[in-house]
Amino acid sequence: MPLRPGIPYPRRALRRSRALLAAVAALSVARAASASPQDVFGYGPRATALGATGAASAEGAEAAWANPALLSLARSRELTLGFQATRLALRADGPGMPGPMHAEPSEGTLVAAQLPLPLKRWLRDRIALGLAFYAPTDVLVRGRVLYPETPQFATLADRVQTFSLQAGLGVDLGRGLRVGGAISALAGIAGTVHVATDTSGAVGTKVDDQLIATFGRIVGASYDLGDAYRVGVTYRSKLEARFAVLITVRDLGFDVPEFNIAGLAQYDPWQVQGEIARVKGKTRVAVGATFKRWSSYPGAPEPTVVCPPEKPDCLALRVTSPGFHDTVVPRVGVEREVLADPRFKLLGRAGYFYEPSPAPEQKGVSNQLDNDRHALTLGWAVATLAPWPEGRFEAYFQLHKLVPRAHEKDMSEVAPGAVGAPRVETSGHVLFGGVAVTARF
Amino acid sequence: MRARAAVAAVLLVAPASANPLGTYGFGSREAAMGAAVTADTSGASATFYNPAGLARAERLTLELGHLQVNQRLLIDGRDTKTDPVKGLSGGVVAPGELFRVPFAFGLGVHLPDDRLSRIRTMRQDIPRWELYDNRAQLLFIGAMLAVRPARWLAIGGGVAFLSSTRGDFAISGRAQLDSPYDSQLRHQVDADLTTVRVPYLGVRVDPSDRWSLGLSYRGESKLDLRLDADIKGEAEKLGIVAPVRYTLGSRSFDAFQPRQLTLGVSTLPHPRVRANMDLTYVQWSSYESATSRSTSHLEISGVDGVLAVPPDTKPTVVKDPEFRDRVVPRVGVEGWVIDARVKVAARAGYVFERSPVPPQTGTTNFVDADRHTVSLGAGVRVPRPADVLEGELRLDVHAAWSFLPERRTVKDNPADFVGGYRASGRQTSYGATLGVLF
Repeated sequence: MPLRPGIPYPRRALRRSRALLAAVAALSVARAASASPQDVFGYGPRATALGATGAASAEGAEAAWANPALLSLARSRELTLGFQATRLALRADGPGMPGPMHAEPSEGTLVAAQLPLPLKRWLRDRIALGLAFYAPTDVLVRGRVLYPETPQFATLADRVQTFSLQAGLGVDLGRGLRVGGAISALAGIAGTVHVATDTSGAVGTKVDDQLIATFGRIVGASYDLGDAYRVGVTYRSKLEARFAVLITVRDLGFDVPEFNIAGLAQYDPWQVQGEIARVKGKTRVAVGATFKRWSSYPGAPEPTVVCPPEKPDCLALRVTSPGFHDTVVPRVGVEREVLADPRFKLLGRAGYFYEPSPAPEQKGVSNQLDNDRHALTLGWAVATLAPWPEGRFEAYFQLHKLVPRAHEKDMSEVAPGAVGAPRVETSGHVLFGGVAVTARF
Repeated sequence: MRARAAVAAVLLVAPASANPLGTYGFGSREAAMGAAVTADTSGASATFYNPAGLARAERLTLELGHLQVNQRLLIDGRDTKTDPVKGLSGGVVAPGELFRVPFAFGLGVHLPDDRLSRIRTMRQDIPRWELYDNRAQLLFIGAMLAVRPARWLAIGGGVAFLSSTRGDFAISGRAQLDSPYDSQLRHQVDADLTTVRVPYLGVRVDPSDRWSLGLSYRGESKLDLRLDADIKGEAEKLGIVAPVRYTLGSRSFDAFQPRQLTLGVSTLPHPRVRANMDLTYVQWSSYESATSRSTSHLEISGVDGVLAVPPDTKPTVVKDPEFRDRVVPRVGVEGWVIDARVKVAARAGYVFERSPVPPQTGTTNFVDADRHTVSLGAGVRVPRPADVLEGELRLDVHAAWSFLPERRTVKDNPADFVGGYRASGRQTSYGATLGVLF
């Protein structure tokens, strides 16, 4: 996200013209539009193998993300434990570009529980809870704010290393109508720092740091069209985690501005997912689309120096919009009962979705790179039935192929020799997969 | 130019950390009984006190409660305005059978009202209530499993999740020393909230219907902050521009949670009376100070006569706090009045916690005192409260009063910058927990 200088003082503008040009050319600040892994891949062994569908077709605890209304389908307690991993192979080619981009692999554990409430009479088999949890092995939330000229994949690199927690409740209202709600949680940081020397003359700091919870809302509804078909719609509010640390220094003999080290660590745009699914029979199909409100993405960290109220037109760099645009993601998923036995079933799954990039072409100094993605999804499940212990073993896999993209720099804005000038080409792929065991108890 | 230290200080943004449940209790029944429940807990609180207790649950249980703690902690008779503690507590316990063995999954949560956690790292010479200042502002999320392979034996375990902060950052651009808010600066941050998992284990043995024994273990957690900064740019004063480079390294620990081993016993001396006792060994001797260790170096040239560049500040020398291990005794009693329709309980408890903090005769000022806690509570059980609910409705309330008798600190050095002081305090906590068994 570029920054622009404030309204300059004419006298100072001349004196500092060289510095200002340098600032405009380089002193903008950008960051990745980091978001949660469930927004990139979907959540749960079944939904991720079915093209991240689920608004009408989700089953089990993964409905807490896909559509909480469908939690009300639960009839037995289930606990799911899983492990999943992501590998990114991204390329940026051009002057000053690294070619293969470094992107740390990520792994994490998945824990989910489906808990129908055993109520009686008119509330029998009507209400269920779902808990859906994913914890990366190392990092709960990754917040990266890089200088804009630094090549970075805006919506991919850090998005898959984020803790996620959804807790939801679904209610069957009868006559095929279900509704549900859930919360999705992230954590951000807010704090202040005051610096002084201690009584011995050594560096001493007084830090007040707070971990702040941020919550997003998930609301869903579904309606059965006869026995075999269902439509569903899910709304997810934006989910963002911010870090903001304000550093104040006094008694230095000269004034130092407060340093505002701030930015968005994670961001999911608000979105609406609609779907129609065949939910009965040996072959089940889900088709839908997700609208993502990326144009609301504020993008940037806050300026390092914030103009004080008494000097609102100071020359400190300011934030401008990254210019992201809304996207629509079409999805399809198919599940087929491949083999059936009185004691077990074997299910095959496949899906596809197309994720358009919300990031505009990088014509200026910024190199916030992003590509459209074709995502092919696969999976299978072995479900054991009584008299064996009831449960499932599932595996799931996604391959995201980045559509090659070129960014032509506007040389009237970009200095010759700038990183990426005159042209940057990007491509790559993403591998995602996991295994999970579900026990019914 | 201590401004560099200021920039460095952002690196000290501290972690989320240990939990307040050990100090004020998790669940009103447990808090009312002085938290002497290692051999006698089966609800969501078992995720904290003894995960093996989850396997004793017979029905799907949902719990939600609220805790409020007001603190009046004094230094030299003046209130230090230590933050109150407020938060929601609760969880889910889901029992069942796996391979025909009783099995349960439990999730326990304590969510502070205002924030998930609050950490304040201070200079080690500033007097501060070390155990109560920020330790009470912490999130707890525990996910546990338990099995009951024999009628008399239950085994449980799981992890509690915490989070710390680590990161690198850089500031670059031109700083205007004559007009600071015209400084053309930008920053780059690579900061993570990292996962910290703390192991919890527990065993419960029921040799008879009247006696239960419990043993629980909580792992140690300390959050290691390793942070580095590189600041490059230019400083301008009176029209003179000078290149500046500042590097800084910082390492600190915070939110220390000591390793704990608790042995508990629970007995029914009368069919309607339960008596519990716990002894907890707390390994405070491993405590590490939250004070940061910082090193820094400044390079700036061409400003002679314009700007007085101070020498590098001395690296922080962190004193070993030399905390001591302690054994915490807890007792609790519960008496039941059983009516055909409703069961009512009265409860009481007592806890004594000897201070692990040694006399602060040197330059450090970790303030603490012994702590006596008396608790009271009541509970109501309503079986089959409605046609749609075959289980039970539970409501528990509690109140507790903690007294920290005065402790005097006398410095070895009569010229000590802070000098001696007196510390004492009181804490009042109360709360309620509503439970539904389906």
